[in-house]
Amino acid sequence: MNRLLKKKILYAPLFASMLFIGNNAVYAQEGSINYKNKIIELEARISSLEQLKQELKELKENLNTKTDKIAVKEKKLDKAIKSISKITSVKEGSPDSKWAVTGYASAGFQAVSGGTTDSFGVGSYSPIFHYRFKDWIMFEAELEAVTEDDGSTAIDLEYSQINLMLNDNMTLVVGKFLSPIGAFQERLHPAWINKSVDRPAGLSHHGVAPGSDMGVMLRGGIPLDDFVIQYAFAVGNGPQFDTESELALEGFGADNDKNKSLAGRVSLFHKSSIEVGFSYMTAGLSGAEDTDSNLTRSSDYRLWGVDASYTEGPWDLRFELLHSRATPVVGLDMRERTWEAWYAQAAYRLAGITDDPIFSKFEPVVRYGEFRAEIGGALMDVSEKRWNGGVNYWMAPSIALKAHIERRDYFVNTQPDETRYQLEFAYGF
Amino acid sequence: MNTVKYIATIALLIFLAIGFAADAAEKTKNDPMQFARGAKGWALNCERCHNMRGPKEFSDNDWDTIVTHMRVRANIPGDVIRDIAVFLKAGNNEKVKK
Repeated sequence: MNRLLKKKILYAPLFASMLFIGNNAVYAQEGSINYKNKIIELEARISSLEQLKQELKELKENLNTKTDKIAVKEKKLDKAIKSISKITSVKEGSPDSKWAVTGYASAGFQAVSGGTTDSFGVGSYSPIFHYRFKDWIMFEAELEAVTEDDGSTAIDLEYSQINLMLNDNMTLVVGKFLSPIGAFQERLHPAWINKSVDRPAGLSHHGVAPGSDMGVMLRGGIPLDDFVIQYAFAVGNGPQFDTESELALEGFGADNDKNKSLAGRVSLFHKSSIEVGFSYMTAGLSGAEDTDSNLTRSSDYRLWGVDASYTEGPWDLRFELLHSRATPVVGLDMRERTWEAWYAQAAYRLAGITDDPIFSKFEPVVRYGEFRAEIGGALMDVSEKRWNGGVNYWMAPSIALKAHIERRDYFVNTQPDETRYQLEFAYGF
Repeated sequence: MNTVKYIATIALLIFLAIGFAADAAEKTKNDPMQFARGAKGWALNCERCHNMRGPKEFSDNDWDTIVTHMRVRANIPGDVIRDIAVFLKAGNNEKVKK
């Protein structure tokens, strides 16, 4: 009994432990299956993640590619915009037809000795209209608007001409043009170019030489080593007698005789800024004192002139002499008339000796000239000696304030001498 | 009849001359020395009558018109005027902005 009991007691734990182990084995087998499933599941997840990663990578690559493409397109777009803007600017800058309005104006104050009332005045307002087609043709016209002493406004057509550029050295001018005689009338009379306030004696509208003419002109410049030969030859309706003592020297729209005027100027311009010019004109005159209306002319008109200038740097030195004569046609009871005017002028910009921003803009000017008008050897009362002296202050290359004194000594005693104190603001635009 | 022939001959010469002028204008395009020649021509020719105007005073179009006016008024040869135009247009406001 004891042995049996002992055996039972002895085997009972063994049996129990075997039973326990057996249960655990079952459990272990079931866990292994679960792990495998989990591993499979994890592997599937990893696979899907890798696939997802691959897809993301591809998406990223696509995105980069598209970004690059967009960048390329942006560059192309920028380039296109820039090229379009360039084309636009070129088109805006070089149309075949171009035009511009330039000109000049002046205003000032003048006090005159001898009882004449001191006055403010507007010198003139002279707009110039230019219309240009390519490098071939240009039409240009200048108007001059002046306020008269009585308050009325006078408007004159100074010139209205068509310029046809035949080649680099020749231009054909048709219409009403400034006379090519001398240098002052054609090139130096605008207020912002004229160094003094008034014109030189005898070079005004009723002076020694024509102001303008209506007709045809050939002109140009021909380079020759260090020189440029400049020429202007004109055929026009010519001047007419205005009164007994004066010629009407502005361009006429019709000829009152059968003689066209021939006028011209030839000059040599050296690269050292020295220029010498020679002028000549011949025309038939009719008008005042005509005794026979059937005559084609009552006088023969001849003019000659010489001018010279030196314009290097701050210097502006000029000389001009013009002489004209109206000789009555043989058989007419008329007196011979002569006109002669000359002037010499010196101006110097202080910029030549100082860099000071104020003083360098001053320009002292001095001019002396004479004008003699004679009929039958007797001097007319307009004959005079004229002194000009003053200072110009250049606010800009074409804007000047002028302060001048002008002395007019008349040759004929009946004409009282004058001293004029002048202030002028001149603006070239 | 002789007058008609005379006028026709002059007209023909004028048109030929215009052709030469256009050809000369084409030849000077893209000439790198134009600017330098233009600066020299500007300094030499403008002062013959008036102060030198600054390039910034006018636009390209204005300069083309103004130099053509000066070509006629001052008898300046066409090739010199084209050089001066290049110089002035290179130094005006429009170009500075670019």
